[in-house]
Amino acid sequence: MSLKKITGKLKSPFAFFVYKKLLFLFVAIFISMTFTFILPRLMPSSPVDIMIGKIAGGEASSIGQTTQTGSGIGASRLDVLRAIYMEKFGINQPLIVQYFDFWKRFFTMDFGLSYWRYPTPVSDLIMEALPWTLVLVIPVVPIGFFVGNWIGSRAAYHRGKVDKALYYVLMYLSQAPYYWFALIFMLVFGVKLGWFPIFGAYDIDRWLYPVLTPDWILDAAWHYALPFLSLVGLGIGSTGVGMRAMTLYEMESDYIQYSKQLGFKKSKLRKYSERNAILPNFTWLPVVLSSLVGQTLLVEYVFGYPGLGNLAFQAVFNMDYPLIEATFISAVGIVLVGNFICDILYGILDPRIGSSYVGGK
Amino acid sequence: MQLLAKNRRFQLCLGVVLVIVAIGVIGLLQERGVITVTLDPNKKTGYRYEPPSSTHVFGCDVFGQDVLAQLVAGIGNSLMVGFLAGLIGLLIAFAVGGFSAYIGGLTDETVNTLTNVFLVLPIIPILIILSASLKERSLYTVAGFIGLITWAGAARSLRSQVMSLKERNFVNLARISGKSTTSIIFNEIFPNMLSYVFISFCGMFGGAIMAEAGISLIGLGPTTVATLGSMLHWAIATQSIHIGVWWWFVPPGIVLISFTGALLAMGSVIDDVLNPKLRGVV
Repeated sequence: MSLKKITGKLKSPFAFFVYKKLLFLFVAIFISMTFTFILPRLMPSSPVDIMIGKIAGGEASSIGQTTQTGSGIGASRLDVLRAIYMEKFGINQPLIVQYFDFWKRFFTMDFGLSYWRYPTPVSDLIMEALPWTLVLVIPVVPIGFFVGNWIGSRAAYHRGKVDKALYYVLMYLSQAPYYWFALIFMLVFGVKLGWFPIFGAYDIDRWLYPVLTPDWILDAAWHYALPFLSLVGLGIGSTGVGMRAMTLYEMESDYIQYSKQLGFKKSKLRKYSERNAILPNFTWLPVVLSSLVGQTLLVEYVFGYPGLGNLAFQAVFNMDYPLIEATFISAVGIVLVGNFICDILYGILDPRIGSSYVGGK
Repeated sequence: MQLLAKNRRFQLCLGVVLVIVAIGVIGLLQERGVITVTLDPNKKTGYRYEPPSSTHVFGCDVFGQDVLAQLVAGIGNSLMVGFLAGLIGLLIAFAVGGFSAYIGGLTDETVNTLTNVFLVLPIIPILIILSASLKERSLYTVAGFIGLITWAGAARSLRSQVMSLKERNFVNLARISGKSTTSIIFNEIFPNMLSYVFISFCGMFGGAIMAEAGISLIGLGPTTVATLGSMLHWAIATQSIHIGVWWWFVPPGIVLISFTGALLAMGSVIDDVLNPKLRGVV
């Protein structure tokens, strides 16, 4: 009902389309944030317990794996410590207050100071890492889209053994463990052949901070090669599978069959079918983006690339909870905002989508 | 079924899956002390970074432990996580996708939005924040986490299946004869979509193994047992790649790739055989 009212107000169907997508964006943010707010709080142990355990139990051998070797701190003093931490984290508050605090942090983007790199504000650390992740994520999407479309349609034209093999390769590429490919690239091109550096985003011995000189850009590009190569297959595979299926479908359709009867050239037929097949492929992009961000975080960790993935690892390893929360929000933010942009682009490119809202449902 | 059995690709994929599952079962049994096939994965049996030889087929890691023994144990635990996560995810997907599609109306709308949200949410960051809140994570906890967030894709495909099945005549007949909704879903609809359920399960099983390896890679997987992902984690953490110790991290990756690849291919072959319309397309 309310939707109808708004449709009346929004004259242009495209505005309604954007409105609907924005609504989904907000709903998605709300659901994902609430989900990840509630689940950790249902757990029997709280962050405070882990921190107390670390202080009381000596060394942490790995994340979460604390070896209980006993210590000199008495139980009563630990209780005091626990109370201080509870206060600090706001865990002593009722759940609903914590929930509002969580949203306050979300909207103000003020997560306080990092524990790991005290006293740097968490938001500064995020702003430092975010560009590196975006630089890895963003180019993969269009490059994967174009190359994937090209390979996918070629596979569909040449039915037979090559097509079958290509289909399995593309399908696998859409779900492969890219972090492992990263390791292999690192071993072959980095360690054995020594063509590429295997750690970081630029030579930290030469530059303390990124500076935009030609020299530095060249060095950054050199460091960028391997992480990028390990990820680009994901974009190619996912769009390739979709493109192949869509091209096959279009090639069977009546208008192509009719054109064939009329004696159109093969290249002409392919052009027609390709144009129609590319568009539905856009709907794949959000799913691609979602797995791409996850894989990027892992590949960053493998290469020690200073993006969000590495930051998340450091945050977890150093039990820097504000930073964990902030990296999580940023990663989900990239996916959801990217998803929104893809949807809108799709609406612009395919007028049928936008105008289908004219009549409303 | 006969068509399936004759399919060369299906035989190959099934073979790969069965071999790896068999190794996994050996690994699980060995961990519980029932049988002993390989060396003890947790004991120093060779020297640091010992290259592959006849006693240590895949060599030794930084601690001088046998890589093959770790691999066998890791396969067992990884498969266990994947299987349980796939099962949990499938249950959620069926409950969410199947029932809501049958009931329809507002429930379906709400659930569909929820599915769409979960479909685009990145798995790895969510797993990071969930795992970081626990000090100790057993195999079952991690499987639960993965199942809890990877159900969306399966829910969507099952939903579309139920949507098409619920308009069929035999379902209408059952409805007219006064059967309850639950009984219709389980006795009429479910048997007719078993193949889709199986395909969904294949996909989720493979996806869950991959997700587990990913989260273990950064050291946030199960803390109580070793998995394929934790092997990769230690290989990275000890910088073994920098000195070219390939035998530590190449085998787990190959197992990971061949198993998930075979599962994926198996799903698509089943789809191909059971869907005459698709035949030749896949």
